[in-house]
Amino acid sequence: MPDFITHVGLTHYVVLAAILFVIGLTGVLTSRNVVRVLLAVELMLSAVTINLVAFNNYLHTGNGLLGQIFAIFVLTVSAAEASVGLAIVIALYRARATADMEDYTLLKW
Amino acid sequence: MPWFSDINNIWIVAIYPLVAFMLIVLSRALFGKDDKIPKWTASALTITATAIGLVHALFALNWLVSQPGDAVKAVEHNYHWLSAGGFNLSIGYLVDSMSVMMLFVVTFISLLIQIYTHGYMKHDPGYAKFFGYLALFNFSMLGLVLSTNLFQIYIFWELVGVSSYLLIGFWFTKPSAAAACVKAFLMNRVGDFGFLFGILGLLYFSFPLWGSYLGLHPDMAMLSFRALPDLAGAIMDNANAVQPWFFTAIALLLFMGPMAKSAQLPLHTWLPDAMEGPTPISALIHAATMVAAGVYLIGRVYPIFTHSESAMIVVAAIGTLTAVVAATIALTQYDIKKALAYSTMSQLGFMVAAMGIGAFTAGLFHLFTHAFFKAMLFLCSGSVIHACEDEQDMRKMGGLKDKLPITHLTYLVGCLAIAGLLFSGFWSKDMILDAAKHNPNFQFVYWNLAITAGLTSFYMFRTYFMTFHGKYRGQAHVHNEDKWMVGPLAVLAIPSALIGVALAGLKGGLFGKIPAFGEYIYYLHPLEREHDLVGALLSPIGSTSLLIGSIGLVVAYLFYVVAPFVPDIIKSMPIASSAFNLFSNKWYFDDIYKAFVDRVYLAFARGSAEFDRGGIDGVVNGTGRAVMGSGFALRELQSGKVQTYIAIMFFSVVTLTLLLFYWLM
Repeated sequence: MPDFITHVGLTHYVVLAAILFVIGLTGVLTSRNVVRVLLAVELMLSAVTINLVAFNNYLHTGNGLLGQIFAIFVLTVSAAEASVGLAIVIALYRARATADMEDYTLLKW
Repeated sequence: MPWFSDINNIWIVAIYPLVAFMLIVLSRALFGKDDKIPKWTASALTITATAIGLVHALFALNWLVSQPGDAVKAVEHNYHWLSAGGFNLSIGYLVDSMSVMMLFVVTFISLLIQIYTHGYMKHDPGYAKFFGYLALFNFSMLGLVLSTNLFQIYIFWELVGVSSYLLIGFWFTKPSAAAACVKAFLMNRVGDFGFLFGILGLLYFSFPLWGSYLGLHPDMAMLSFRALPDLAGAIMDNANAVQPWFFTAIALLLFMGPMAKSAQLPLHTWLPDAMEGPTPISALIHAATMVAAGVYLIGRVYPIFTHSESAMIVVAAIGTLTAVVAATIALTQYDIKKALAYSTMSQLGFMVAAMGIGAFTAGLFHLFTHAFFKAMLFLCSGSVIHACEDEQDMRKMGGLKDKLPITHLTYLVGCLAIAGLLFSGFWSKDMILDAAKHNPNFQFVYWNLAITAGLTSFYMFRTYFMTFHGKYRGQAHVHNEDKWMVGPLAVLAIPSALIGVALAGLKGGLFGKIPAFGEYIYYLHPLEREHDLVGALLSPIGSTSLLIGSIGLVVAYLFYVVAPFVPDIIKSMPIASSAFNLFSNKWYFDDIYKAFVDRVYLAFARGSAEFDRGGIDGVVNGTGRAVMGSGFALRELQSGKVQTYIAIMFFSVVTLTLLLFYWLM
């Protein structure tokens, strides 16, 4: 059995976070529905949170729970952000009568 | 009368006419038309202002004469105007023998001409405006006379130019008058350009010297005239450190101002055209005062000229040439005012030549006497023109001596004066000729001026005989003389006849204190006149010029009274006719200038315009178009789609991060 299967290390977490981040980014860039974009943004946020926890665990072992506390803060803030984001989405929908990203081009030249 | 006798109040002489001008202009602005306020208020204001000024000038004359000792003290006061670093501009007043002389000339002649103007312009719709302009001119001229430094004189120099422009173009609905005033203005621009460069050049070389000098003489200003005798040598050393000819260049650049203002070759062509203005203006500005300002300026900056021998020679040569050329043109003129204008130019040439040969006092003396008799001659011509219903052509006059007796007599006095036949012109012209004769370097000046004196006598008596003798040749009904017009003429006749003999050669006595006219200055070395009054008459030079003047008179009498067909015979002779063509076409100066403007200047201007449109505008518009084009192209990036923006942002950050890594490795 190769070593990278038997021993789970920092690299695994970082790679996982990177994969999650790219999935989220792809969602943000390719989704047409605003709600899906919002979901994808949450995914990107989670990827970063995983990084925080992983780095704290492997690189700052003697230093308590700083990364974990950060992670909880990020979760709290992302909940608030999601509610604000949804409020914006509803306001956008009321204004433009559509949830399609392609139609939100008010800032076009 | 302490107000008048205090010499420190002399600056107010220039302020009186300024106040009069302001009041006239404001009342015109407030009340609209002239007839709302009686129009005589304008003339009353202007004439009162000048009359009070004359009282001041007379007290100043008294102050000058009552100075103890030979050396005349100068009173100078400067008011600080503005400064930048070590550079200070001041405005002030300077009272010395030169400015007092000019104050008297300007106020006295102005007063008489303003009274005359009342008669001449009585029925003109622009009566009040005319007096306003006259007051403006008086302010400018008196300010010029009282100036203490080159900057101040330059300001007033331009102001007299503006007044002259306004007054030449007073009847601006006449196309010729409108053209004449523009021409005068443009010709003077050429001269003033050089003048300004001369001032700046002088400042450039003298700038380091002023700090310590003004520390020693706190009453003076930067570029003060009174400092020039002390500083000219030092400035020249300073200039020589750069290039020896710089100092000559400065003197000649300064001379360009007088060249235009005093109608010297080759910037003279505006003066004859300036006769389009009303005749009182021709008398006041273009004969007696403003055109003499050039000679006055040379007198003020004389130390600069005396330090450069080549500049002096140029001045003398230009003055002499002007005298000769103008006299030859005057021979052929039929317009009485044009003839007088060329005679003015010729006499100004005498003055400038006198300055150039170093006969400083003789030049100023001629300025002084010329102001009286030439103003009077012009006023006489105005009286004649007025009587003949605005006819200026002498071929349509003649026999006017019975109809206009006072004008006739005063014109005769003026002719005798300018021809140098014992009346005032003789004494000043004799001084110039004497000075030229005694300077071995300037024999050509003497001979040319002596011949010109004969020509002067001839063409002046030509106008006299054509106008006042023979049979009347015009159609217009001849009016009687206007009493407002002949009064000033009669007053002016007295100084025209006598002021020369009263001042010339007298040492001590009443006028001996005006050092001006008692002695010569050759290159700053005083030389006593050899002769007293009678001696001057009997001396070879005096009797020669009397003889030349008499020949001119007799020839004019023969040509225009006894045998009027002779001029036509002479004109038909081969050499004489080509000479006549040359003279009557004013030596083709106007044609040369016109050709220059048409062919060279306009071609150059068109080329420049083309370059401006194609080159400069091309670059400017090209820049604009490039910016606009790139804007059109780049705005496609701003699609308004958030996802595109995010994609660009993300890939940019990735690229930059990779680059950063690449460079760090």
